[in-house]
Amino acid sequence: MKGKIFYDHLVRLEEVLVEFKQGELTLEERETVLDIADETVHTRVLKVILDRLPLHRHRLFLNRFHKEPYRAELMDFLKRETGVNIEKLIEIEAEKVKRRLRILIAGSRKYRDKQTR
Amino acid sequence: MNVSGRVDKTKLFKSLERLKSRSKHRLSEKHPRAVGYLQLKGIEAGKIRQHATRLLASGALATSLVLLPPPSAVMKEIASAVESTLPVENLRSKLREELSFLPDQPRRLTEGEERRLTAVFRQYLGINAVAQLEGNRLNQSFGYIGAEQHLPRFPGDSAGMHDEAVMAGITPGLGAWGYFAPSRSALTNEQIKQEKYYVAVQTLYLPDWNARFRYLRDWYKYRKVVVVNPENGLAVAAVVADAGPADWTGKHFGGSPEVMAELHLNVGKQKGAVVLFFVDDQNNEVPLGLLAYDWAQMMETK
Repeated sequence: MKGKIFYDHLVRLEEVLVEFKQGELTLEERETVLDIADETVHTRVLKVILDRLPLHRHRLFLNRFHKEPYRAELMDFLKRETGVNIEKLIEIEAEKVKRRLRILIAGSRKYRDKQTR
Repeated sequence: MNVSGRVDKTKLFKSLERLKSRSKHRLSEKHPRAVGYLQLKGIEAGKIRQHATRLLASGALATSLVLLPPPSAVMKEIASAVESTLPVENLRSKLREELSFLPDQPRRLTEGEERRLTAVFRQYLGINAVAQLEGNRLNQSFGYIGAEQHLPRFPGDSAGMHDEAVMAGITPGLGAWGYFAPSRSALTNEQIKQEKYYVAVQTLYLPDWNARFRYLRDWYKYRKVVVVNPENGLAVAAVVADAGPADWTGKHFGGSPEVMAELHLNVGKQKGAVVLFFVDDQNNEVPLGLLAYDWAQMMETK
């Protein structure tokens, strides 16, 4: 069982898995793809949050975030402290990552017999 | 024509890894302190999921769910998290050590001593505090502070209307800059905090006070300062909201009841030697009140 992060509902990373055909990746490979994508999303989302959060609130947020990363109240805190629609910004960032992943997946396909008739 | 190519897994994983490391690099470049903070806690920024999973596995989550406090309590906890969770005593004792070079009796500090204090405050409190800001400085940056009463915030204000330290009373006259707000209904939360954490400084004894009265009056009005008690390492961010005390009192600054309480100077003679520096805080990021210590930040900057 994997631990929950308070913004998971805004990310829905599994959506990119539909880019793969049935049986194309082993279960282990699918997990690896998801893990790398997950790390990328967290890094990018964290940057979005810190970009918007006033500097003097960074430590407070990080302190709570590392202790209880699943707490829904963290989102309330961010909404209040950033003064922007932080949920939307996280969603947009996650979409950007997913779009990039789709491009990478498409770019990694080998097109055999392109000229076959 | 075959349009449904097979995934080149080596290429895919390489691309994914590149994307991941680029994202990490960008985060580290933009927010090195935040990344360092998490590292001190044993977490790599991108690996928060693994960390959350470990918490879950260790049973920490299960325990906290059983004992889950109501949301309002959680938010209060968030608001005071730094104070309640960091090893404040360690930091205070380190800060006290750093301030031990100060003389026993307050006097005018040398420029070298003031620079040293600026470096210490930056390292331990994470703020840019200086003795001289925009060419302005007080006659003394290290002096005695004495207890003041509450200031009237609006016409008709009384000590009983203040939510803390009611027993301290309220001054019969106005602060040097008058009321904080024209009426009770116009009083903002920010103004409430300004009165709560105010200091009086001896602007009246500044050598250029009369010559540059208009400029200095405006410059000092609600000017943000940090007051540090070298005896215990406690530090409070406050604003200048009154002038005084008179020289004959033997004091150099006055502190609101809340400032004195936060510095633990609200007992006995209600007087003590403190450092008072201006806070260079153009973006208004330093909150008024007791400054939170951050052990981790101190370690980062070492």
